Amino acid sequence: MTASATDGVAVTQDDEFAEFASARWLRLVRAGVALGCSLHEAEDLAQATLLKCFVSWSKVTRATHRDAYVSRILLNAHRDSRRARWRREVPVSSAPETPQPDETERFAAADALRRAVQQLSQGQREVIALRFYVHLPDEQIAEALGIAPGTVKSRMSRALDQLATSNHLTELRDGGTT
Amino acid sequence: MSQDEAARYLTELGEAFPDTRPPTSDLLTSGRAARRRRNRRRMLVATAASVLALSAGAVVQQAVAGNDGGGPDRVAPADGTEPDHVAAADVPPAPDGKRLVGMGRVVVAVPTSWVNWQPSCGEPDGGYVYFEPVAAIGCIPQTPDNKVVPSLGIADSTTPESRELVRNMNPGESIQGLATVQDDPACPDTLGGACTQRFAVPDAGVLFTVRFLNTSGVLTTTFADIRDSVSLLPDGVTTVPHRDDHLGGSTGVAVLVGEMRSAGLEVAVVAEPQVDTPDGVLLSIDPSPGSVIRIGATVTLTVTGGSAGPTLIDPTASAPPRPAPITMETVRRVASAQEFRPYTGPTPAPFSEREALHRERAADAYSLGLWDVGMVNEDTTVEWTPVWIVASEYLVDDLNQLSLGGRAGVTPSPPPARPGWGRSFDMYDARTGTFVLGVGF
Repeated sequence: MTASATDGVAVTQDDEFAEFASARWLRLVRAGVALGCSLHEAEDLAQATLLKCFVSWSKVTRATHRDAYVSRILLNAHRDSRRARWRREVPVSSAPETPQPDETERFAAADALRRAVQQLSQGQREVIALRFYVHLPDEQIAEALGIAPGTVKSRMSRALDQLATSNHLTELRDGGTT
Repeated sequence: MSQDEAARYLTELGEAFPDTRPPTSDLLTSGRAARRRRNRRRMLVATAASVLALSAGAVVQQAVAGNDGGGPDRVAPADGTEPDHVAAADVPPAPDGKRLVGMGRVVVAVPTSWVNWQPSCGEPDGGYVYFEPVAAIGCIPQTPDNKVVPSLGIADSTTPESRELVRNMNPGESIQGLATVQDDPACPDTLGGACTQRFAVPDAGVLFTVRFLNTSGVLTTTFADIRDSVSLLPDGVTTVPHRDDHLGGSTGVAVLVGEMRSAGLEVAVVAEPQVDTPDGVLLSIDPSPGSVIRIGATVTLTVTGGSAGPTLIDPTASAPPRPAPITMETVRRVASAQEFRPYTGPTPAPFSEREALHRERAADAYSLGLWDVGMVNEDTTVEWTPVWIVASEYLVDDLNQLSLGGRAGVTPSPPPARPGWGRSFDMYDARTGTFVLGVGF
C-alpha cells in the first residue's frame, strides 16, 4: 500500500460523490420535509443520508436502483431517532461554500409542505415523500419501504384521497403562506 | 379538490423550494473520518479469529422499557435511589435538585430537569445534556426552529479539533489536583440571548460546553454553577459511556458494547421488536449515558430486533479467552507494508502518551511507546512520521453488523451474529495527535 495510490482513488470517488450529492440534495431535503421534519431538520437528515452514502459509496454505486437504496438510507436515518443534528459554532476550516438564498423564502416553502402532510400518517408520508420528491416509481418505493407494490398503491391512494377530501390543502393553497 | 389536484399541489410545493447546495466539503471531511473508522472495523471482521456461539433467546421476565420514540433517555433518579447501579458510599452526592453527569471519571452537577437529549425531530422542553460526536467536536446541537434553551455538552478533549479549542483557553482553578482551562463567554446575536462558554479538564480528557441564557427571568443555572461543581469520581466508579452518533445502526451498538466492557461494565443487550424498523437500532441505554455507575454493574442496551417479544441477548455467557497482548512484533507482522524505526520526534512528545491512550477510547488500552512509522511510496522512498502506538482488545457482539441502508432486498440479509474479540492498534502523530494509521485484526 502506498500513500499516493490511496490518494488517487480517493479523489475520483470524492468527485463522483460530490456530483451525486449536488444532484440529490434538494430531493432529499424536500423528502425530509414531506416526512414531517422542519427545514433545518430535513437539511440535517439529508446531510446524514449523504454522509452514510459516502461511507458506503461502493454499495450505493452497486445498488440496482440507486435512488431506492438511498431512499432506504434516508428512511432509516429518519426513523433512527438517535440521528444527530449539529451546528458548528466554532469555525474550523472554511466558511459556508455558497451563500444561501433568502431565508424567509426557504422557510415559507418548507412550512407549507410540512403543514400539507400534517394530517397524514407516517406510512402515508413516506410514500408521498418518495413519489413526489425523490421521484421513485412504485416498484422502487415498494423496495425502499420493504412493502408490497400493491400496498404502495393503496397507501398512496388513501393519502391523496385524504388530502383531496379534507379542506386542509385547499385552505393552504388559497390562504397563501399564512 | 380531486386526487389529481392534490398531487399537482404537492409537486408545486416541492418546486417552491429555492435551490440550495449541499455542504459538500463538510460532508467529505466527516465522511472520510467515518469511513476510516468503519474500515478499521471492517478489517476486524475480515480476520476476526475467535468466534463464540451466542446464547440468544432467553425471554426477559421483567417488563422491558418501551421505545422512547426519539425522546430523551430516561433520566436516572437523582436522589440516590439507584442501589442497583451505584453503592451510595462510593459516590459523591449530587446537590439537591441536581444530578451528576459526565464522561470517564469527571462529572458535573446539572439540574435534574435537564434530560439527556439526542437531537432529532423533536425538541427538549427545558435544559438538556448532550454528547458531542467525535466527528463534530466544537458543534452544538441545533434545536428545532433555533429554540434557545440552556444545555451542557460533553466531549472528548483529546481529538485534534478539541485540542485546538483547549489550546486557546485560559487557565482556571484546579479541581482535586487536576488543572482546568476555560474560554471566554461568547454571546453572538445569532444565539438570541444565549451565551456559550467552555471549560475542560485536559488531563482527564473531557471538554464541557455550557450554554446559558443571559436574559433575565429564567436564568436557573450559570456557567459558574456547572464549572464549580466539577469533580473527579473515586476509584471503582465511572460514568456510563455514550454512543457516538456518527456510528449509526448496529455498528454503533457493537462499538458501544465494546466501550462499555472496556470501561469495566457488564452489558445486557435486550432486543425488542419494532414495527417497520430495521434491526439493531439502539432504542435506549439504562442507566442513561453519562450517569454515575459502579464498575462491574450492568448497563442495559435496548435495541430493535427479534419478532417474538423482548429477548435478552447475553453476550457474556461464554466469553472466549482474551487474546495475548499486542507487541511490536505483532505490529511489524500485521503492518508489514509499513516500516518502523526508533522514535526521532520531539522530546517530550507534544501529544502525550496519556492523550494517545485516551484517544483509543478503551479503559484498558495500552501503549507500545513512541516509534517512527514509515509509509513506503511507490518509488521506494519512505515518509516517516513520529507516532504513539496504542493497542486494545475488545469483545463485541457481532462483527458482521456493518451494513448501512438496511434490508428490503437491496442488501443481502445479514449473516448470523459473530461475537468475538477484536484486536486493534492505532498510531497517533506524537506532535499533533492526528490519527495516522489503524489496523484491526
